[in-house]
Amino acid sequence: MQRYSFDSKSIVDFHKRISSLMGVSFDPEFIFKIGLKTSRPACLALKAAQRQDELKASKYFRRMLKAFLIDVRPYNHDNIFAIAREAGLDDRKLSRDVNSKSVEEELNKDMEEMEKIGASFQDIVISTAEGRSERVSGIFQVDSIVEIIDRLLPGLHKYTQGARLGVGQ
Amino acid sequence: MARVSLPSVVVVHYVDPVCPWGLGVERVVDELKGIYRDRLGVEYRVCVAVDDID
Repeated sequence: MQRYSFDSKSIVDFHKRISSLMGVSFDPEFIFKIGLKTSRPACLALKAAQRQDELKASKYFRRMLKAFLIDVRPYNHDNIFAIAREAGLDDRKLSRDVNSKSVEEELNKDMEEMEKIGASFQDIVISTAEGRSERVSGIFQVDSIVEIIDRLLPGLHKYTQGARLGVGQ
Repeated sequence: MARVSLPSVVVVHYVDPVCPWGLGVERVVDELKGIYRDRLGVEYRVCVAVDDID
């Protein structure tokens, strides 16, 4: 896993660079505005959410991105669980699971996998059912990824591109 | 017996709910889902990006 070290000015500059590279808008000062010290509580909550419902968990992930990076809602226990409710999750079950040893172990397992393959947060890994896979780093144009999928799995049917789902939906 | 259709391609995304790279990757994932629909699966691995900011 790639590790960064920042001061308060360089983190804002880094966020501006990410925003420009990806073509997405968010508040480059969100870390300071929301009071973020560690993202571990949000990660544990997301990991616990995956136990309940994968689809709702992915919605929860997107809603947290929007809430904290775009809407700059305060990063605290109440909001982490309020956003879970908004995503349709059982926040009572979530609060029980989030502090469990097994959820922590599942989080550690994901982090070990990321470390093992040397992935970063700008990476995706594309895998086919036949067992071929490729790690893609820092590509934010969909055409480039379609080319990779075409190479890994020639002839995979493409539908007409649908409407974007959008963060927060 | 119910038949389950497995996706032909799976995208694994390493995420942290407060890491801005996620916004860009999710935009790409949305577009890929529009192109491949149920032939594309998405899996999330959750990893801590920010720890112990003083």
